[in-house]
Amino acid sequence: MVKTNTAHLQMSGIEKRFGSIKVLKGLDLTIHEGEFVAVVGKSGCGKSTLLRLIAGLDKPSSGTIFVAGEPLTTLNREARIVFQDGRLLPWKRVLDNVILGLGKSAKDEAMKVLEDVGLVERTEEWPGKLSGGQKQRVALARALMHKPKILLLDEPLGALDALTRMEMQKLMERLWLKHQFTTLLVTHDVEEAVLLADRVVLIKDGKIASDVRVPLKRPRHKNQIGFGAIVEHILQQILEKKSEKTSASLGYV
Amino acid sequence: MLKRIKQTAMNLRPWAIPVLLLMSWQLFTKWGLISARVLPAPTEVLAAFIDLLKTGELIHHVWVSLWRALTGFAIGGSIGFIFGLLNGLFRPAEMTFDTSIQMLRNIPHLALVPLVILWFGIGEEAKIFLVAVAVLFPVYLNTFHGIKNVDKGLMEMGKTYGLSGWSLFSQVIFPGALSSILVGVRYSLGVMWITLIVAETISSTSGIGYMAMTAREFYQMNVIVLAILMYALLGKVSDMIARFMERKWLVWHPSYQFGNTSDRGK
Repeated sequence: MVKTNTAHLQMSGIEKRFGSIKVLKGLDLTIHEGEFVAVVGKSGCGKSTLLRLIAGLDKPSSGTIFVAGEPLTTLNREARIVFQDGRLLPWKRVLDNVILGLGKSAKDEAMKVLEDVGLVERTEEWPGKLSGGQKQRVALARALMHKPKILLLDEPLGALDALTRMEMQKLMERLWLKHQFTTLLVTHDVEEAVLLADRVVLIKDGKIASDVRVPLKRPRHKNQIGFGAIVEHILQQILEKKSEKTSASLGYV
Repeated sequence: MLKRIKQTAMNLRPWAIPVLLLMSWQLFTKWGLISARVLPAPTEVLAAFIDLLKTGELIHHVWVSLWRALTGFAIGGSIGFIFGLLNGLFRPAEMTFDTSIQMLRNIPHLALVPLVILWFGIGEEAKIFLVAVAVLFPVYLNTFHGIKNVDKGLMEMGKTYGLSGWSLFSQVIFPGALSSILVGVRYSLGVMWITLIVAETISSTSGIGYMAMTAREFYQMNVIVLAILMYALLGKVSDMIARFMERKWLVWHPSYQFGNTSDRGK
């Protein structure tokens, strides 16, 4: 991937408290334009919280998030988020869900995007009649319609079966290669993270515990040389008792 | 062919018991097993229906009752709907009005009848007022709860996709609350007729209830039964209208889809 070196998202000393519980405890992270970053960690580690902060849905208790150099104070207009449960409006047909917030004139464009995610023949269907994978395709299409500079994926494949996941992973990679948006994928699946991301970031104890660059060639597959080693390395770090900040770049592949 | 007959028989099955009842009613009254002072024969009720239809009395009374019901419903329903919206959408409004409305809700509205007669006499206002009060609370409660229970995740999603204010309300909040609002409408249509029956029976100079009460003075059993049937019919019609609205506006809803087994025979 060709990447400019400008920081698209910059966070330093981000803290987030819910009542007396501190979820994020001084998190520093910089993400460059066009980068695909996966965020992994145990459940409850604050990875989804981080995504919500970047989307501007929640505000950090302290610290500031900079989007292209500007501090984020309201909703992040450059970002669109795809939620785990899709969050389609059940009372709107697929096509109307995809043009949400854009008006009828966006219909032609929406048909193109739906074709891109492979759902062009289901445009007049109610979301309730779609399978889990199809719902997530619609949610992806809806996000793409807004031409986001930052795409936030909050465990979008968490509820899908293994085969559908594989299809969706290919689709997500293809869309990212085509549109070149900065992408943040929150996932609990380390293999998925290594399969898709340029960098895999591990959150532990409210901080970035490790930041691993994945130098494998795309398209990747699970039997690729080096794939297993990276996955194993990250898993070890997740399971390690004490968090030691390591910033490793696995250059041995 | 045989299959078709079987299918028709299956479709007619829910009607078997009502038809059987009607036939035995007719026969028992004809044979004198049921005294005419208890129940008139169905044919006599039908005769009364044709008679009153010819004189125009029936249409007049039904029209008067219908007008009262709908006017009361429109007034009470709108007030309930508006307060439901306000209190559901805006926290300060909820803080100001909800407790008071909940307190008023606990007064049985039919207990107001003597008071209402003193206030308005036995004119139209009394009946419309009672219907309006009866209808107000179910509509209010269901609108309020419908809006309060709109999926927060969908609201959040709507905001991140650029909706706010009116567009958020019309595309996310209102459709999300609609099934609950329609439950309120359907329920209050039932309460509307019951309230009107009581109000008309106690005091009026026209309407179906008045028709029944004058018939009582002249011992016209068939007219009394006819009045009861008219109320039943109007109640059924309003329920059908409510169901039609549900089917039209909630087609997307898994529990309101056509061919749904729970709908059969209703």
